[in-house]
Amino acid sequence: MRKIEFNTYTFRLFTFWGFVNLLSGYGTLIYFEFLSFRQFDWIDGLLLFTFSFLFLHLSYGASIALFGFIQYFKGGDPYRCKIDVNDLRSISLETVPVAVVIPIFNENTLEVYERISKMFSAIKLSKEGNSFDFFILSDSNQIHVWIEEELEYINLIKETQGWGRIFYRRRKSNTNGKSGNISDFCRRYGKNYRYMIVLDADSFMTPENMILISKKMEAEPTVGILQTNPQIYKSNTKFQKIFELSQKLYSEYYLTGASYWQMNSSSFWGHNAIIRLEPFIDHCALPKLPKLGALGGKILSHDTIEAALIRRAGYSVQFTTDLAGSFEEYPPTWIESLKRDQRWCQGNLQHFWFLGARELNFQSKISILLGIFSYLSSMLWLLFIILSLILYLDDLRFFRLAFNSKEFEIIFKQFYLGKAIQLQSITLSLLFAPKILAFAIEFIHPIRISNSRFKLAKFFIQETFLSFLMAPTNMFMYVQFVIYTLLGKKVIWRHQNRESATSIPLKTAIENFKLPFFSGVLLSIFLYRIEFQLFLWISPIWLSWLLSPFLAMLTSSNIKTPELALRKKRKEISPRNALKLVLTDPYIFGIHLFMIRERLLEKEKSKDSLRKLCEKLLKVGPKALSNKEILRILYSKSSLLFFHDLFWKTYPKDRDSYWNETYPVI
Amino acid sequence: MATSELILALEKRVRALGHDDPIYIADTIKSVLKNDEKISLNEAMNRFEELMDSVSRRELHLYSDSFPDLKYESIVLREFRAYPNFDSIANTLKDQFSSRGKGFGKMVPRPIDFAGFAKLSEEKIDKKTVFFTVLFWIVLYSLILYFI
Repeated sequence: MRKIEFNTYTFRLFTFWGFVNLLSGYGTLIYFEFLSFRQFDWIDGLLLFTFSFLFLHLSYGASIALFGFIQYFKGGDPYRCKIDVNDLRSISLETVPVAVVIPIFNENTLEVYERISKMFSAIKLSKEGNSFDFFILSDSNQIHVWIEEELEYINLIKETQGWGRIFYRRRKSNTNGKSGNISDFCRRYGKNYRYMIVLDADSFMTPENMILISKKMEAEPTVGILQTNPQIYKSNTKFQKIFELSQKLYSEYYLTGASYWQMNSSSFWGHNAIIRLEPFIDHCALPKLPKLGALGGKILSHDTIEAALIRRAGYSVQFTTDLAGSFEEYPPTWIESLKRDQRWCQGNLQHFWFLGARELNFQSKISILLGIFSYLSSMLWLLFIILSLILYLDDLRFFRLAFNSKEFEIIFKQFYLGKAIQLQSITLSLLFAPKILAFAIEFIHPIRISNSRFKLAKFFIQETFLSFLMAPTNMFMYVQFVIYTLLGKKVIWRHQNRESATSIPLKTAIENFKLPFFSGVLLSIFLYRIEFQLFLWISPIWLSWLLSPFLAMLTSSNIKTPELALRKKRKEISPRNALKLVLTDPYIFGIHLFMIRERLLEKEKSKDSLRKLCEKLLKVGPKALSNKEILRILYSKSSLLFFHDLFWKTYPKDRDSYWNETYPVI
Repeated sequence: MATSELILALEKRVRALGHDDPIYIADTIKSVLKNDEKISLNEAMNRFEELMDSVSRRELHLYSDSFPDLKYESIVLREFRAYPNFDSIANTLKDQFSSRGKGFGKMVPRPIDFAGFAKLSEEKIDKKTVFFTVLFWIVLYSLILYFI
């Protein structure tokens, strides 16, 4: 990696942002001309203001793609974080302790552990990964998931012979979510390791990849965080497949383009990345935000801020597209994807506080701003559409009153519509030109997608059509997310079976998309009644809203049967029988005892109250205790021993019927 | 003679440990009851636990200081007995939460101030390049505005 000099840094920033401004300035100018066709009033002013922001955002997207293409045609960015096996061959990791941490929260245990088993077994075989330890950091708060995690952990270490190398730890309280979980790891074990590879529950990384990124960190002591570009894998549904292929086709250009101006402050996504632990522990603790409803308090989305903080400490955040062995899963359905967006929305909106932190560098702040704007822009977009509708109707009335029908035809079509079409063309070019270019490159030299050219073309048409159809509904949902976040509320999603082999039922899809669906119905009727031309012009919006449930249903269908976990369950643990098993089954109880830390400072008063709870639990059953009380018992060694003892020393007739049930079927 | 209720409770406990052999179960119950006619469930279970503890210690050779709850944990540890480094496995399992003496890298949020800015020295803006790039864009913007 070549050192970035002053001139390069300045040149890149000004070239890139100059170009973005040029594009957006040009679009805004055309729009201004379009608006000034007749009198420029306050609605026009507001529209121009909204448009300028939206077009700036659009120009940014197109520019990163364009700069990415330029780098691609140049043979790669000379300043990129290059990972070359030959360059790193001489670096030894023998004395370099690396922790691979996997924070989990109520996940499918068997699937997660299967991935860990594969990664660990492979790294053990590699001979260069002897200093790699794995940490399963659980924040699961559902008892049956927690117990299954413990039970399967013993299976995992037995199967991989990973004792002393694979650790399981569950936090008593999941304060601050994932970032708190990582922070807790750093506090307890952080000083034992030089690097930490962070993986999500659905992430997978090949051992070669882990070894190479660790070696790269050894070779470049100024790199604080090195982010890999995880490829989407294990796509079972149409929705996943479309995003997997579009990521393969487009992502590299966009990411390379973004790295062009971000340079030492590249993106960090919080997973599939390696972190230098010492500066991370010293500088990246997340501050508590000032109180301001849902936008204050604890930081929900940590990655961008951690990247900004490590950058502030003088370490760089690098991004590499050189490695192919980093993977993640994509949400299986549109609903799941929107659920994730909702979480990110609140997290990103909270980041606005950091725009005022003056010592964060320019790139970090722009990344933060872009994160906020990716959700806030939906509000502007909706506002823009509403204002445009008002203006269009107003203009139409003006033209019809001011001119006779012949003059109206000429003026309206030649001047007014002419400018509108010009503007539409620029917008569509910015939206689709990068995609078309990426498609053309792949069509000529198929390297990213190993399908036939016919299949590639089919996918391209499908993806373009789908993204065109989905965008207005995403806008609708994002507006809802932003409003709900500002009000401190959450959108309630109807339950769906994620592991179902069939698609989402239409009823569930309509329940989840009822707002855009009915808005689409109303808008289309309204527009049809007042102005047919407008009805046609706005059709991409109302059609998208109207079709959203059907689209969600269609894209959720499976294209292949989900791979079943190869691991076999030791015992069937369900929400109903989990408590009984952990407290009474000698094997599961024995495992749980190993996993519970002895609390030497547990007060006698607390032990007494727990004993009373245990007696109540045995006599009256779990219904007599709150979930919190049950968790207290499960987390206290003394009360666990007390209950287990009490259970076996009480005749069945003296216990609640729950304890005498044979293992119920789920 | 112990009640059938008590014998059933003991049988259930032995079976819960994974023993299905009726002879083993009968022998275990017999050695717990020791022909004691008025034995209570509590006493029987205490004797059973003592028995399990002594059997486990004999079998696994683990000391009570490190493994005070061996009577409960032995069922898990037995699964690892075949490995030559059994002792180390048992201790590692028992020692899950030790930070091996080097933990406690507590993350304390740092106040956001200007001190860190100096460290970003390589990213100071170069005035000459700024001047020329700004000039370039001004000329380009002007030309575009002129020709539109």
